[in-house]
Amino acid sequence: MTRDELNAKRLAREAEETRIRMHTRRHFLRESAMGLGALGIGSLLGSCGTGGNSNNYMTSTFDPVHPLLPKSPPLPGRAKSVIYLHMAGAPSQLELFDYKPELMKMDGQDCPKSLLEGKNFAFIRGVPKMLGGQAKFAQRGQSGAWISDNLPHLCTVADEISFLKCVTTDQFNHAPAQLLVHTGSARLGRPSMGSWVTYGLGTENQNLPGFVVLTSGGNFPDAGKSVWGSGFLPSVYQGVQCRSEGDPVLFIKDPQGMSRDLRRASIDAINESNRQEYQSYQDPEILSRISQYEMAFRMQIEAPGVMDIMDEPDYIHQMYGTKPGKSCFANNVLLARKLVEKGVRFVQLFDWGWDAHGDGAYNALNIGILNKYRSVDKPITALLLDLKQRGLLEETLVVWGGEFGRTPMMENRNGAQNPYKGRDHHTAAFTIWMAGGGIKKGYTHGETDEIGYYPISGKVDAFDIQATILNQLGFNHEEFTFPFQGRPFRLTDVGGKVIHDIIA
Amino acid sequence: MTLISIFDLTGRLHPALVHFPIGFLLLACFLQLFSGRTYVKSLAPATMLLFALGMISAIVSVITGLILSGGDDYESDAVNTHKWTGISVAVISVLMLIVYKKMAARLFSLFSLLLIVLVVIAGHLGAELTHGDDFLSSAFKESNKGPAIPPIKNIQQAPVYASAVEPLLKARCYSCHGPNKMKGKLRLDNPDFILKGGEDGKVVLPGKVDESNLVDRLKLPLEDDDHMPPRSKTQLTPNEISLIHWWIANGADFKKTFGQFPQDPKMKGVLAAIESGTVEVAKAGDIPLEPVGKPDEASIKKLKEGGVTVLQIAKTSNYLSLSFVNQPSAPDSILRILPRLQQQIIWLDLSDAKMDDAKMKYISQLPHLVKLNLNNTKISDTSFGELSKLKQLKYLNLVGTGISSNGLKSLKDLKTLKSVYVYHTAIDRKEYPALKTLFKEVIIDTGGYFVPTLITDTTEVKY
Repeated sequence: MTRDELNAKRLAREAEETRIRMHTRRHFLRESAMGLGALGIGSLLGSCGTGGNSNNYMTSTFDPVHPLLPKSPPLPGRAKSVIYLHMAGAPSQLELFDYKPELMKMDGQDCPKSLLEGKNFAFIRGVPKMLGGQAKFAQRGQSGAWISDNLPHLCTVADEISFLKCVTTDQFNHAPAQLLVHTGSARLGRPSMGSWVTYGLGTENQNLPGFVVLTSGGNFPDAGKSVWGSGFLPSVYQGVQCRSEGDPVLFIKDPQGMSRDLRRASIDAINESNRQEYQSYQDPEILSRISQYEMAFRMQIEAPGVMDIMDEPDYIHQMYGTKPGKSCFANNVLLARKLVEKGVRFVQLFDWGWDAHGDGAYNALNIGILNKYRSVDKPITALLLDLKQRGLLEETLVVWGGEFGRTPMMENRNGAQNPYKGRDHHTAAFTIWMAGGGIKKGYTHGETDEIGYYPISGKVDAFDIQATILNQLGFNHEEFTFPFQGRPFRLTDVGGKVIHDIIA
Repeated sequence: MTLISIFDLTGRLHPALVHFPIGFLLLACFLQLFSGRTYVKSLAPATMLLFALGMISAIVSVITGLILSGGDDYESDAVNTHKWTGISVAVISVLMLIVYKKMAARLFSLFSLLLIVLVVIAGHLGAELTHGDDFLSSAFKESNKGPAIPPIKNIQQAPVYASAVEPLLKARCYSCHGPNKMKGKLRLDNPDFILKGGEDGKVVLPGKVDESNLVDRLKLPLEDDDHMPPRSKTQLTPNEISLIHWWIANGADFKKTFGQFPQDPKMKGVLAAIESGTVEVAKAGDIPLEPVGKPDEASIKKLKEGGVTVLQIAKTSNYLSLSFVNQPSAPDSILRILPRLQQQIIWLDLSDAKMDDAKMKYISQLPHLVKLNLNNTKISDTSFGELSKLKQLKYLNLVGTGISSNGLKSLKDLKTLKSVYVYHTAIDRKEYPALKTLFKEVIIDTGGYFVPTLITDTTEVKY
């Protein structure tokens, strides 16, 4: 028997098995019993539930045949796209934005008992020492925002930014905290923000994915790919991970010997078989699959061009500080700008390695972490300026932040002093900033206490930030839902208030 | 604890205690009415006891009720009817207990029926006092989450109080501060009461918005006990609060029309939202405030078939946003359709499309355009003759085109213009100061920003 014959035989057997699987005894019973019952129930339920709800908002806008077609937002939005820059591991607000001279005076002293009572820390045990900010601060721009010398470039664009100085979270471990920020739940299974947004708005460029994810720093975020997963939303809305080095999407090139026509023919065949499968099962996920194949086919033409940052002129590369041919944050940021320019809805960047515990030189605030500052400062500044000069900043919302902040105390892992200067995870107050997309320019919202431990005013949480992002895109976060497990779900769960103070 | 507060407490128990007479008396009447049936026969001996318990609890309820109504929170009209039906329930139950077994069973059953009716009426009236008189009927109404203020036509000519403030107060405040209930001795259901205030003094000080307790209460955080409306009730939207704030700040006049009050741009956005009856508008951006009719469906269909992305700017708006991102060749055959939608098209994105000066004649027929992207197209200074016809234009993106400062100068009469992007054009940064004096109110972004490369940008800290 030749190899071809063997393959043909295997295929035939698989088809036969699939056919038989569809007609087990259980299947027969279910089809006959459920068929009748469903007929009755269906007619009863048809008149109630979300169908009769005659408001303007979407309850379910999923069109399985064209899942990514652009859609109108419920309300006029100020932003068309979002670039979310997540510093995975949680950057220290006390070395970047939250200037605390009082904390400097306490540097080296034992932490007052009152700050420790009833608190849980990830690593701090016993009584740690206080640690002053490891940077020089100054007020920048006309707005007078405090930014440290660690970000010399960002200082020059302070007047474009709204700072949220009192973001809080209730999660002090990386993975759940990242999930909370991006999916609205500390547990797995909810759709990510980018999935919600592409579900609600689709995407303008039909040859590119609507939700692109780019990672750098040598590692995925701790919460893994779930932070850009689609949860219970149709899987077509999950983030598409792309790369700024080599092929933008793995296996996007046709293998040698496969022509474009042959590719077309094979996709047609797969789609046809999927269509038959859909006829039998009526699972809308199968239609999503068909449209994903179609998009992949179109992407093969468009993506390599858009995603190749090498066609950008030299001065742009210098502006961003890219490292051509390598994988790095700067390359990803430049790629993000290109994607947004081409009509991609949501671009999510994760840069790993910000977890400044100080248990080694690599994550010491005054040694290894300095390299993190240096690797993001120039590209982020370039991004804001580049979006601005292209007229894109008005309609592109840029968000920068981590999953939590860092303690004003120096970390003493398990009660013993760490060898380097570092800080533990801090949930009560940290800084996230936003720019563009209808956000106020040069504004600071919220204030922490003298040592940056607790919020004094302007406290916001992950839900408030999500609500604000959705608001800028034209959604009322309370009305933007998806029916699942018998009830409507929203990104902001039962929380979230739009932060009107930072909206221009 | 003073004697008065114990007295007060007793009164406040009324809403809880009333459930006893309702339960006991209804059950007693039921047993009486069906006493002949086998399935209640074994329970017959309990009838007397139930009547007795019902009577006692009815009397206690009446007493506590009288104490409660002594407080001034409730208005007398609605309370009166409730009071007298309640008292008659108590009286009749006393009478029935006295004549029990001395009266013909038929007649007694008739009394039972009467008692049922009275109990239901008294209970319902009482519930309306506690929950508001639209408590039951609101189950049939559309969700009351929608706008409290009905859409207003010709808002500038409409009276502020009668067309907006009054309906808002009615929807959100009257249920506790109106004719039926006067929590805190405050009524908001007519101008005199509004200015009079409540037990803590005045709530509206015309022109002094910072001292007006009404606005303070609305703006307190939701968690605050003094926040109004209470947490469990439907809240005012930020626009509605802005309206009240604006109305009081400008003198809280009860006659003036919207047009007679000063309006800053922010307030204009709020008023536009109120005019159209939308709950909340993302703060007025690049959207005209005047409503517009429905677009021509056939033209939209043609454009969509031609690969153009056509979207309403919002589901609540007829204005359209068009993008040629999936139709970069922008052929004449398609551009020709655009003027048919000239009333609706306000955003037009022709970035990277095959646009040239000849095709601009279609664009100049879109007088309502607010936002226009012509970046990376082949248009030149010749196009400005057409561009200057767009009298509503606010945002103009000319990045990567062949235009020069001479052309740009011809736009100086466009009063609405806010931002023009001219990065990568023939305009030099040196010409920027001259352009800046010519366009005083406009941001002209010549781009070409430079982020210097510091030594730290290219070196790493070694360890």
